[in-house]
Amino acid sequence: MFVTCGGAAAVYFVENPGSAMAARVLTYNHLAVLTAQHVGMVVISSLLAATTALPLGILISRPRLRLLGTILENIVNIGQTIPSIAVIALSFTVLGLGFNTALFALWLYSLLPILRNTYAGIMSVPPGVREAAVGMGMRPWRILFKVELPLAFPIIMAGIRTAVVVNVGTATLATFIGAGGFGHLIVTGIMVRRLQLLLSGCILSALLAMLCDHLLGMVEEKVKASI
Amino acid sequence: MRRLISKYGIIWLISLLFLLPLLSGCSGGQAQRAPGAIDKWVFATDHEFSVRPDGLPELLKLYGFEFDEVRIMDLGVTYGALRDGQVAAAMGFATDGRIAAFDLVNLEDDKNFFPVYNPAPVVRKEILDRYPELEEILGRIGPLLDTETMINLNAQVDVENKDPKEVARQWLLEQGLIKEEAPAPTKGKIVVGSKEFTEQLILGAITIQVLADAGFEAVDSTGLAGSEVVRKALTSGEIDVYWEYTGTAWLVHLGHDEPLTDSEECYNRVKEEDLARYNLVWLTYAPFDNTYTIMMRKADAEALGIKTISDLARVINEGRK
Repeated sequence: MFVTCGGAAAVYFVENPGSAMAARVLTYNHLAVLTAQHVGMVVISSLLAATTALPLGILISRPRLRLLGTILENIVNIGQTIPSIAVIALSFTVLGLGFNTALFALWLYSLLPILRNTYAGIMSVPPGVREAAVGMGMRPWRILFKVELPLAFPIIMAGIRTAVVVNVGTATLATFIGAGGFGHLIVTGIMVRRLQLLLSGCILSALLAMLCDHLLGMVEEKVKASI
Repeated sequence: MRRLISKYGIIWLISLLFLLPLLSGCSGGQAQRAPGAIDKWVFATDHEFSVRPDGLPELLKLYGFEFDEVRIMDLGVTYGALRDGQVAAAMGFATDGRIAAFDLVNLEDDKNFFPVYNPAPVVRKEILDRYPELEEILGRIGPLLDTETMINLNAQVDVENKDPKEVARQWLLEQGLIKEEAPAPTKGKIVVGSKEFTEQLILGAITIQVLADAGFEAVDSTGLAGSEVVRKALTSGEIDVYWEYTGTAWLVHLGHDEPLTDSEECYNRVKEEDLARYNLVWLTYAPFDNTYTIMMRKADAEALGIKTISDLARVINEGRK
């Protein structure tokens, strides 16, 4: 449904650009490129973030590393207060222009919610349940995969969904450092005062955010059913 | 065994955490190459220039060439991207102080493609009706600002890292436009706006200090993001005056699709239409022309013998054959 809406919006805006300037940007080819850039940035950075933050979150929830966990969680909380545009700008000063820099910034920014929720999810497992598992003779690895992770799963997924949705929004800022994406439409729209451009960028990225959230929701349901 | 795994697991995870930025860092680094050895013509432009009727698409058509890749980014970033060799050519503004500082050159617009962009203070009519003396007070600034003066003022901020307010003050004192000490405000409040780039900040600072010197309570609302936001602020009455460029007003705010190339004509037509449609008054304009420019690195341009945009077109087209 979201894809259809997005497609319809794209067709509408390409067919009714409203002005010569907007028409120059709103072509099917260009929209396809921008979509690919935006989706690429979000998907790759989110996947990287999930593969880094999940193990790290599990790691810091181990009893022996609890202290590290508390410290890391605080760092993460402070890190989240840095505005996303600042993260992109800072990465730019170190890494230069382009897609990879945007990827790095998005990765860094979406690490935090996933890490925090993984940690919080595992910590929320009642001690009694864990003790019962130990009492049944389960090994720590087994406890992790059979008890802790399944119980923490909804919270972890909530973190991933937050990260991805935020990522879709943050990725619109990547256009400032030459990485393209829907932000290109938004910023150009603001710059030259063409509502169609602005709206097309906003609507497409909003739909992408909803689509991602919906897909992740489906994944969550599937996984929940299987555990 | 379990211990081993968890021990090495930690090392693995930590190294992964540090490796990722390194990996992405490798591909984003600066290009080191000999002057003139450009194998891919990448062009850096901001969003506005990439779509404007007087921007990139028509420029390429007139001069008859194409870049291999056009990268769209924030305006302030193009100069640095060019200096670092991440792009081969870039657009910028002709009066920017970084052009000299970063060893860049403006390519001559030998086919007179770029239209004129002379700045002038734009005031709301009601404010001017209330304080008719503003016309004289603000009107005398413009004629003193020629291109050389403006590049110099811009360079003081961008290159020597001076404060725009201080640069404006020094210049005004030199010109004898203000006194050392501003008098206590006796007249009403005037809110001064500007866009966010250096030249606009300097022009804003100049305006504020001149107004303060004339006894107004000048409120600093400079540094607003982009033409559109400042213009909205002016038409909605949130600010009372800011410096706009004739070409920008003609094309963006008044919505015309055909750019004008004569300073006087552009100014007069904008002045007339803005008063009639938006109740805005354009005061005397400055002779400096902050028009777009196409820049290259000095070393590259010299090695390839490029002085004009036509030269650039010829070099790119010959390289394709």
